[in-house]
Amino acid sequence: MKNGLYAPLIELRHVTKVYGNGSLRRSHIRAVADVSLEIQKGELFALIGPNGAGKSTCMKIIAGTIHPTSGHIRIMSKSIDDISAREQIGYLPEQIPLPLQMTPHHFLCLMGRLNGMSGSTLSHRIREVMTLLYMDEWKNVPMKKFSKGMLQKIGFAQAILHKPRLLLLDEPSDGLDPRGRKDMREFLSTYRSAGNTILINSHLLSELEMLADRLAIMNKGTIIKTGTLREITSQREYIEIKVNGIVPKFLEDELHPFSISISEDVTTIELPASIRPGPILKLLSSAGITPASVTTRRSSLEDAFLSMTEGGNHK
Amino acid sequence: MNVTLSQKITAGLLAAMAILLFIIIFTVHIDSGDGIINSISIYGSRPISGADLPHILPQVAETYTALYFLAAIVLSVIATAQIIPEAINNRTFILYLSKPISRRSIILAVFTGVTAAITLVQLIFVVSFWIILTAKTGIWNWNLLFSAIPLIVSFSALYALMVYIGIIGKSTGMVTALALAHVLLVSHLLSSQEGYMGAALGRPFYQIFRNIVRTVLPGVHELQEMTFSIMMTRSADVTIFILSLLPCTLYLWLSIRAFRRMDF
Repeated sequence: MKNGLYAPLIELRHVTKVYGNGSLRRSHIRAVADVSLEIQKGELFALIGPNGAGKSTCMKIIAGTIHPTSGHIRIMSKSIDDISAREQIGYLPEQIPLPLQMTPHHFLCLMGRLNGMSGSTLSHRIREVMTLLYMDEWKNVPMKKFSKGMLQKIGFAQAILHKPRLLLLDEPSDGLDPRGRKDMREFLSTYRSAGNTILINSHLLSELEMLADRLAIMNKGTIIKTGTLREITSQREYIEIKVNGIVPKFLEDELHPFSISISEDVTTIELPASIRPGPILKLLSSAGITPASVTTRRSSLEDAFLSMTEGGNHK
Repeated sequence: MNVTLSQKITAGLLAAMAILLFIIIFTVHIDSGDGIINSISIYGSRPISGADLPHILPQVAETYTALYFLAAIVLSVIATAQIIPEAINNRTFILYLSKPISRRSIILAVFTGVTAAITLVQLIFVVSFWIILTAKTGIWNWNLLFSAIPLIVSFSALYALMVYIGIIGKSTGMVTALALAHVLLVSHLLSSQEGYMGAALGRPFYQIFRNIVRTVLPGVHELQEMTFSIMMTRSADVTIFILSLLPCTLYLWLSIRAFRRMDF
């Protein structure tokens, strides 16, 4: 494990989590298998993967609500068992279990005190957070009257109340309307810019494309790929040639190895980036067809995600 | 929903106690003088006085003690049984596990909070009853106040067991059933004479079995008897209090160990 000035903020080494005690009545479920990960200070790191990939399990292990079967975890150079490591962690679990009979003010007072806050500092911070989340008029209303999105905001409020250096967010946009999601994105971007670290688990890949510094794709309990957005999607670079109208049948047969799609009277031909477009353009020219555009594209995170997790093909 | 139910039960407990106190105020008449109770009459019935009192009063006191003690314990069990299982099943503990507090602190805080709440409710009743009785008789019976202590100790030891059952079983029904079974059945069986169990197991084995079980299970019946003993100014056996700490400590320790290993 690394120590010192450049030690990662979160370090997972060969972490495995197996559910089930091996008895005949219960079978093993390997939720996380030999996962190693480093998350640096000040980055927004995203965990993505299909349902059951082990993303939430990883996050729960880091948050301390689940014990790993094996492996080592260090947070801010401290062992996960060190209670002081959690002083700088804010955790938003998936489907946060809020005490609905309480008001947000009462609940946040309790959460603040558990984080060592008190007095006017706590009161001021609660007001600040409720205003930030556009919830200040609801602070004395019992939470049993709240919608799902409002409850999610309160869950987020308790995670950021003590201004933690590390935020663990499990599906933070769950239940939020588009405005709420936009506000969340802006907040996370600002929070990261202030030097804080965010580990986020989300199915909203389009949002992660805008936010994440680095990502890890998980599937069946293991990490398939880690890297920046560019590194992950660069495998799926391709050349896109657009032609107005529909190409003749004989040309379609000639271009058979490549992907051809027709939409709204525009034919799109996709070639792997490794193939030079010159011969294709010559072929089109010989048929009297002038391409409308020739561009190099990178597949979206969703495309990369699907191809890596399902081996999905692309027409 | 279950939090509301326990709130209703607690409110019901307080209301029942208030009604009982009002009944005592308005229907029981106690005639006393020079620090001595001369006669007692209940809502116009023939007064009990003279030579009858030394026989009747202890029986009344014993009946009151048994009924009050059992009712208080049973209602307290019902009001508090769901706290740990519901917090586990609803994942409420997740909110606290990511905070900088140890799992041991969480369990001890739940235990302390619940026993403090029940202690408060019991003290309200006992103090109110004491004030009313004193106003009616003019006799300051401090022993009545002290008689609340065995009940509080009994519930504390019992709740430590309930916490452990709640963590292991994660079921409100299991906690309620096992706690009530101990209060209403097991504790009395262990305190009684050998009876059928002694005959079945043989006296030496039964004695050993009974001593072991009485050490690891809360001594509810013994503490109930001590309540009566304190009320009637007889000496209280302090070792029973100390022995009640053993199962309390044992089950809290087991609870903390089990809770530390749990995943949420």
